[in-house]
Amino acid sequence: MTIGIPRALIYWKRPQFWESFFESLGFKILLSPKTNKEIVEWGVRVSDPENCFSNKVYWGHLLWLDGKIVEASPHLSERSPVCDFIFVPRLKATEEKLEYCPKFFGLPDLSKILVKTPILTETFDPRKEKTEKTFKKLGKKLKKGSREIRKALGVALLKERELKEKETREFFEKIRSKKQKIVLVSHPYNLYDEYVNLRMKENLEKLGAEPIFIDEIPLEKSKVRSQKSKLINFHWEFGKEIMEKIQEILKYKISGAVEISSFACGCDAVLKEFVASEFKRNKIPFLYSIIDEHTGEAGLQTRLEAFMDTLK
Amino acid sequence: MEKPIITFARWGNYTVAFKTLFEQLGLEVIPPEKTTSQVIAEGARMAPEMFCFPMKVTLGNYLPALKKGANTIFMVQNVGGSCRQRYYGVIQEKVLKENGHQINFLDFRATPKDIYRTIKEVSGASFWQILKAALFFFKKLRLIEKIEKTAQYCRPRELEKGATDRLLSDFFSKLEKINKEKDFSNFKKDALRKLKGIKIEKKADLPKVGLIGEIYTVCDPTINFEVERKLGLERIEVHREMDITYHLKKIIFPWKDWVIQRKINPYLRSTVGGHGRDAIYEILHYIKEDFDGIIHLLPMACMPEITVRPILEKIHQESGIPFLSLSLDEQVAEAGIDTRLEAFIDVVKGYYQNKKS
Amino acid sequence: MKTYLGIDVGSISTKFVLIDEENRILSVSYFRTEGNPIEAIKKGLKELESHNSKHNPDIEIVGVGTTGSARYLAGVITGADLIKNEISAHAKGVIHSFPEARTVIEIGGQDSKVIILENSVVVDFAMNLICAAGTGSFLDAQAFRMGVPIEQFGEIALKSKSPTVVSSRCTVFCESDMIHKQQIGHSREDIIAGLCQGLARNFLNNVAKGKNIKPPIVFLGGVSENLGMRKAFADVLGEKVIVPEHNTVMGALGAALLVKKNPAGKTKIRGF
Repeated sequence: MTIGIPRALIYWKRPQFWESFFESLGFKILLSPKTNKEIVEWGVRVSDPENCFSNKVYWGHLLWLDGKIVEASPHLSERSPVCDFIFVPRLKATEEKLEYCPKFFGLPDLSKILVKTPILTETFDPRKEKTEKTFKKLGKKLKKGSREIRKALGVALLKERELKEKETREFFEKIRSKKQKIVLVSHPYNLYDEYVNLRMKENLEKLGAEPIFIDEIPLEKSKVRSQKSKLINFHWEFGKEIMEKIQEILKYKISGAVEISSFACGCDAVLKEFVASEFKRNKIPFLYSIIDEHTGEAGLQTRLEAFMDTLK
Repeated sequence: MEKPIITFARWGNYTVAFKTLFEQLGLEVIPPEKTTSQVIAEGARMAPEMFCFPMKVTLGNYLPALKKGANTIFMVQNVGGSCRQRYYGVIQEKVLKENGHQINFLDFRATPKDIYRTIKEVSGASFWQILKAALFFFKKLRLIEKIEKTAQYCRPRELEKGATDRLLSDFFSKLEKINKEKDFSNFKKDALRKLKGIKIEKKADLPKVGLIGEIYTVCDPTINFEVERKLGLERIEVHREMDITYHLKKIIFPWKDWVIQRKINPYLRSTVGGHGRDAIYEILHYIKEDFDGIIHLLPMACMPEITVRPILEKIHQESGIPFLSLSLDEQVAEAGIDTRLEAFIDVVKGYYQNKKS
Repeated sequence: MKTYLGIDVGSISTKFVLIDEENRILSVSYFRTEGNPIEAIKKGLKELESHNSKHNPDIEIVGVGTTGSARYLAGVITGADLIKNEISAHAKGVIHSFPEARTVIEIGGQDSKVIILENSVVVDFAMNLICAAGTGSFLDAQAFRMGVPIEQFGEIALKSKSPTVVSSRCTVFCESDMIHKQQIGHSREDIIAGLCQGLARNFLNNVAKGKNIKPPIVFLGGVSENLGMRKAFADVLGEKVIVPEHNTVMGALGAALLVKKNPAGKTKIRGF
């Protein structure tokens, strides 16, 4: 049996976790390709026009897994993707009882309207139900017992921890670099998707900078528990995390910060105010950029160049 | 602490009741002025770019009052659940401070405990005073809502065009000045009598249209370009579930949300913030009640409403009921809205005629 | 002879249609509004008067209907008996001329609409919301930039064998993309055909998004005169696209038909 996973939005919150989990259980995984032009076009075409760009991209990936994109563009010469289920979890809150973006809440229901492939889902809300129980329920749907689930979970968590440790090691190397360190602030689905962020990391490296993703910044365990922001207490998990990581990175010498937001991102409309304030308060040059299906790489490059010039 | 001079955001016809609440507590109030396109433009100018429309309007509402000397602003949080509404207060306070306004911003959660605590702190009033003021507030609020509902029935049937609205403006301006319970009872009797007295076509069976969507946009006629009035004048009976009592009832009786969730489960199995679920519940309800059209009102890019919009469209396609979704913000032109409304009214009337034959 | 007049005053063009009791079209005029609707209406009325006095002196206009973005203004000036929105007016025109139509695509100078019909009743519609990249102004701007008269646009587009893909979301950004494509050697025919396709796709992705487009599909409005656009829609939709007679004045025709259906007794028309 093959389970399809869209390589967008929630995927980037825990890359490789879900693949490891399902593969340990003996399923084949079909991951949608890296975001490309067709995926974005299709996502935009089917989406409500006022939806945020990141959500539109997600629909594109979903359609790819359903086979629609390959069907419509035979010249792409890809074999038609086939999966028995598409996995779209309903992520509502984290272990710390902080909420995800409300757009995540409706993903499974809207996915069902959009594609023919059956959707595999389960609601992850530690405020209502222990995560362990949710995994058991997921297991039942896949006809797997609790022992197998626990084992698979163990494998996936181990893999995740290894990745995190590698990331932390790399972070400390980057932080020692003599180049100008630029913090990139955004949600993981914008940071790690090069098509969507128009290869921002590569462009910054070409300009001689050392880009550091906000996501990579490690937080001491104790920090994660308390939230003592002077400005705001976010009820969103990314809100709290980003604000804390900004506090952390300010301890090091950074030359500038760039924030990327998807067009029409409601959460960022709030977040940006506080991110910008923090950097301004600490006199760190700050650049804010909105991305959508029409943003041209050339335009962004120009802005980055100009920004880097101001740092000299 | 200097003497608090209160102001707050406008919310359609309900603003009158809020003003009374504060005055009854012995607080000095500078009520927000009528929302005009200038007010909206000022608010939009100050507000963060991609923020939702109600935040920009309410911000604009404060400014003239601040100029007149208001130094304390009341803004409720948590009307929106998981959506951005809870951050209105924080953002508005920040933006006002950055623009040089030194004000005491009272940002409180919409729970009875928090509301009580905030009011007590600011006014220094006793428990009984607060209770009395709250009861008077509810009385006024309920009357305003009743007047609005009666108007929705009378307006499409009125024999003299404009009679209902003239009465309404008279009522609301008089109601604002009423401070004593005794005057209020007299006023209420008189108002209800006058409403009954509007000459209407008694036997008229008219097409019915439901208004659904984001609560602020649906309830405030200035923001939604007076959709209710325009439909009424074209002899269409308008209904809406949303008003303040609806929202308060849900806070006090949480099982209403469970009922809603059960009903909409085939379409959406979760909250999405704001009143997203309610929109789905209401469209299904109005279809069952054999309505002739649905208008969906929302601020542009409103997260919960945009999440449910594809579901509403699907229900529209499945049932055939005429459906119009209008996204509003500071840049929308009234002419565009009017043209769509006119065309929609024709579609509704056509659908209604078809049903009858 | 009793006649009915329909006037469609849009931002780019003004249309007059006069019909008789048997719904025969007696005269049609179409000219640019040029930013002055009042003058345009006066001009149209004068022309109509002189045309009538020459050809049909015993004409009596017993009803006037107005539509278009300046319909209220036109209504006041002419003393119209009926003021109707453009959607209902165009729908009426199509239902009369071509009752089997299921989808109507109307693209004018500054606006565009899609109307869905079922059994000669409008069941759904949409109008363009955000910008003019899906309208005639878009093509006008590009034609001007390329130094090609818009009337020739269509024929040139038909010569193309493989239309270039041109970014068509925004008129201004499209220009930069077109320059880029010209520089890398795409031919004029291919670019023009690409623009037509871009407009068609833009229309379908924005205005007509989510609407149930079913054949027979009727194409109206000034832009429907463009042969390249007719082909572009046919290509993009994968369906035959029908351009009926009176495709550019359907709104005015609809208004005339509607006022005829609901005669006001004595007309309020203020005469010439």
